[in-house]
Amino acid sequence: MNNLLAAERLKLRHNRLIISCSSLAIILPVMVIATDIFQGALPKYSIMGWVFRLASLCQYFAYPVLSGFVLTFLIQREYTDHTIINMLTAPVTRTRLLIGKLIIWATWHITMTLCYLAIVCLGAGILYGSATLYGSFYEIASFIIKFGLLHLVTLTPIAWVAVLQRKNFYPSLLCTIIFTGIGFAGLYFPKFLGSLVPWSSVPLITVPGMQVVPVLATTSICICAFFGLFMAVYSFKHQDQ
Amino acid sequence: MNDCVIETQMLTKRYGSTTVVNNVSIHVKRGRIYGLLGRNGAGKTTTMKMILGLSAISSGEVRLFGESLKKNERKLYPRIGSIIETPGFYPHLTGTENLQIFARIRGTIKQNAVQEALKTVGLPYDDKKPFSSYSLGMKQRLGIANAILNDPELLILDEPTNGLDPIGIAEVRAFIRSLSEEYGKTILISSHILTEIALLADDIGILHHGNLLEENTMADLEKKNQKYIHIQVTSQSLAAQVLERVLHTNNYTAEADNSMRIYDTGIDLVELNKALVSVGAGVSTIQICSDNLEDYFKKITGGVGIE
Ligand SMILES: Nc1ncnc2c1ncn2[C@@H]1O[C@H](COP(=O)(O)OP(=O)(O)O)[C@@H](O)[C@H]1O
Ligand SMILES: [Mg+2]
Repeated sequence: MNNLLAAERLKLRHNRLIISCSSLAIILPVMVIATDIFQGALPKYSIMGWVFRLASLCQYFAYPVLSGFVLTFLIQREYTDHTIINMLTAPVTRTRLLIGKLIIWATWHITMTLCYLAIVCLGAGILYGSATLYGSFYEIASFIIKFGLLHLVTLTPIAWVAVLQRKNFYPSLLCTIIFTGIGFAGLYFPKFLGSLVPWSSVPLITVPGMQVVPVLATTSICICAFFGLFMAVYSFKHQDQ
Repeated sequence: MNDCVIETQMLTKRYGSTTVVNNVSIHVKRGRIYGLLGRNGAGKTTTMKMILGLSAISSGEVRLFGESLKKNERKLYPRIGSIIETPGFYPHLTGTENLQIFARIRGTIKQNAVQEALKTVGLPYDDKKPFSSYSLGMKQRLGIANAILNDPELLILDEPTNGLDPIGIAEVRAFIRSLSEEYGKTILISSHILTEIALLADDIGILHHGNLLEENTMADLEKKNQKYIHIQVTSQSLAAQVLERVLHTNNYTAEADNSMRIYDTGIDLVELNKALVSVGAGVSTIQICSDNLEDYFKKITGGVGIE
């Protein structure tokens, strides 16, 4: 497995898509925060209010979409370049190959979440002073990390779609956008429905003060994560190349 | 039979209700080059994919190195190198970088394997050219380099000369031959080009619409296409008497148009002619002929020929 992951890392060299997605994921919060800084402090928001406002742009929309794109292309490129055949005859078992991809994707997703956390902390430090930041650091960090991780696990069905679509890419990109859309629309869903749908459950149980049934939301997120993972591996194992 | 490196038993592949590989049993013996010959769509690639576990087997069995493939994949597959259809590599990386990736995945190979494999196929080590700007010939070579990276005992090469120019084809052919002769590798190679298989293979399997029509050694096939004396006479019965009584052979056949084929090619043509004329068998044609492979394939594939 270590060899496989090392090989996956070698493949990422000069990979323009990963580079552009990573750059976007960093530039976006930096620009928003820079605007806030140049417009002066934001007295109408508390530090946490400011973090939530920033999240509504980056973490609700941009990150899940970028993450879905990265996962799609990590898998789809192996089909379009025909490299999947050389991978499988190397030989790599199919489960390992897919798990390797998911680990690379998860690593990217978590790295980006941590970069985002660092950027937010830097911005908050400048805007609100280091004392305020220090006082709220735990709350900020746990909010951002929880949001990031829950998005990660609810995006596993994208891997399944990416396996089924082979050389295509729009089905899984469409799914990514639909999941993201549901995540946002979920804020306006009735309490029960919002908690039932995994993608709307994510912001509902992460952002404080939302109408949510926590047990139901947690259950639906877990089922979604395992279902996506299981179906991706199952379909890949039984696919003719 | 025990010396088979690849043995398939009634291997079958169905897509829905269409059967694209039908009860194919091939026997690839150790140290030999086995040519799988068939027109486009005959099922060559599908057969190889089933052997390599890329495609699910609908029914039948594959045995590799004398062991059943089932449950032994992880032990048997590292002993095989392969190219299936067009060689697939990461287009934005160089040939060397690509091989380093596959070397890393294989794990247990020698330190300088990448360098050696590139040298063997005549590609530069560590140049800056990305795979996407390689010519077709270079791509095929890189495919072969990848296939021999782990010094496998068995090579499965699916149309490795596809798309190459005549010089490239000759080079690859010479290279495959040297892999067999110098390194003792067992090779299963497929092609839709008759001459390529005829020039390279020791054994041959002919696949047609998913059915294995014939499996034989090249040597036997050449015997089947043996030379014969073709004569045309006015009386076949008189000629037969001459053959049996004067020339002491019954290794002949009588054909339509009063022609006959004598497979005993040791007979002197002048003598034969004299003997036939002396009994009044009226010779109009007398010549040495041979079936060529092409005729043979036409015959067994029901008249369609191979190309
Ligand atoms: N995934 C598939 N679904 C349906 N038919 C297929 C599939 N793959 C291959 N075939 C059919 O199987 C037959 C054999 O194909 P193939 O093994 O590629 O032939 P060859 O390599 O001898 O040219 C062809 O008729 C092809 O159309
Ligand atoms: Mg083919």
